[in-house]
Amino acid sequence: MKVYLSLLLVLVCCLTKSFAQDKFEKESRIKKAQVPVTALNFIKAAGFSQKIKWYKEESLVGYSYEAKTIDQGRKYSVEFDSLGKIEDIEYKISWAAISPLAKAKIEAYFDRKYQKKKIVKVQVQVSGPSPSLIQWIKNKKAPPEITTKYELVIKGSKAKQSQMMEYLFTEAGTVERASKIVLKNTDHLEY
Amino acid sequence: MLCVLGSLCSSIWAQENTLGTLPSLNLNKALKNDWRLNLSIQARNGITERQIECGRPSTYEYVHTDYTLIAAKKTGLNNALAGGILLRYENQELIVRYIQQFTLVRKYSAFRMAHRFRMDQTKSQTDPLKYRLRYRATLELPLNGTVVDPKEWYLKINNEYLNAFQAQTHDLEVRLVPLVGYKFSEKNKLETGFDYRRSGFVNNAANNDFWLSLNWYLIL
Repeated sequence: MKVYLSLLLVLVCCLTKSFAQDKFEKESRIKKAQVPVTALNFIKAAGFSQKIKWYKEESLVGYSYEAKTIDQGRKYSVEFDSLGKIEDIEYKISWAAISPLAKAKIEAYFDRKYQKKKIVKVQVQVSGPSPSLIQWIKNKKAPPEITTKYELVIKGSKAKQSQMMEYLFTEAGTVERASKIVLKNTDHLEY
Repeated sequence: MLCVLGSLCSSIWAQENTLGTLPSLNLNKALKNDWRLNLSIQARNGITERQIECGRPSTYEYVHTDYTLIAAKKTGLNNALAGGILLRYENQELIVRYIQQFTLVRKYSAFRMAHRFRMDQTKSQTDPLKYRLRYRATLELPLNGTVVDPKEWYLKINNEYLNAFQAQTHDLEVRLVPLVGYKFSEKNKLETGFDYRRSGFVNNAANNDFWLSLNWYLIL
């Protein structure tokens, strides 16, 4: 009996610890009615024809909104700040679709950094004034005030250590930001 | 529809069946150099088929408890090799099972999928050595958003195929386990659902097991 009570006590301690230590970060699906009007107006003006899925991303420092949709075979992700102001638009492309010059520069960067790499995902990220972005969505032509960047998710290995990384490159292929992707726990999928 | 369901139920109950509960506690600990330890304690309580057929009052019987300790080493970002041992004390007999497994977890845009390839060898004092080759596919589907975050519900479906070889006989068992889970935090999850197991495909002696599962996963 004492053994079971001790085990229970240890578990309760672990449980309390696990509740206390976790960082709060959450992405959840929300209804259109919960989205700021500014963001709704942008999406309406962009004229997406397919269904829009809305998400709210919350963290300890604040929150933002994201609209996901498919238009002419392209998967769009439109990011807004907490007030509904447009931040950027992302859509998935293939590695082959990047301009040869930028591709060569990015390849050279990864070759210096890793012994082995695998490109998992490539996205184009565009930002700029709201009317220009709407124009870009409609015409698929980037006005000069639009900034284009590439967001890459890669699996890189060096000295038998692998890691998943997210990089942001300029249109010319210069690295701007690198962040390590922390993979979610998989114990409940393995056992 | 009801007729089909009725005939299916009567066909199932005409075979050998077991009903019961399978509560389990799963403790996980990360170690240095990409090693992980997993300790699982799973109790089995059931109502035997004889009791159901004879119409005697059902008694909830303790069957056994499994203690499994597995050490896993990450061999890549999404895969791991693992080995361990299971100890079971049943009918005054100690049963030992050696386990080897390889797991692969893939993340897709709105769900995760895991593949588990497992071999085990079961040694008991009375039965011949039993070998099993197993494959399990697991789907994790968030019920809110595209990833399972703390304080969110998720759906988990396991589908496993087990080939058992014992004393020159072979049997196949198929398991289907739909579960609903709640992630309290990154280190604490609780799941419940049904665990349906059907065996006897090869020797035409079908056996159906229905378990009510309750799994608690903790990271220490």
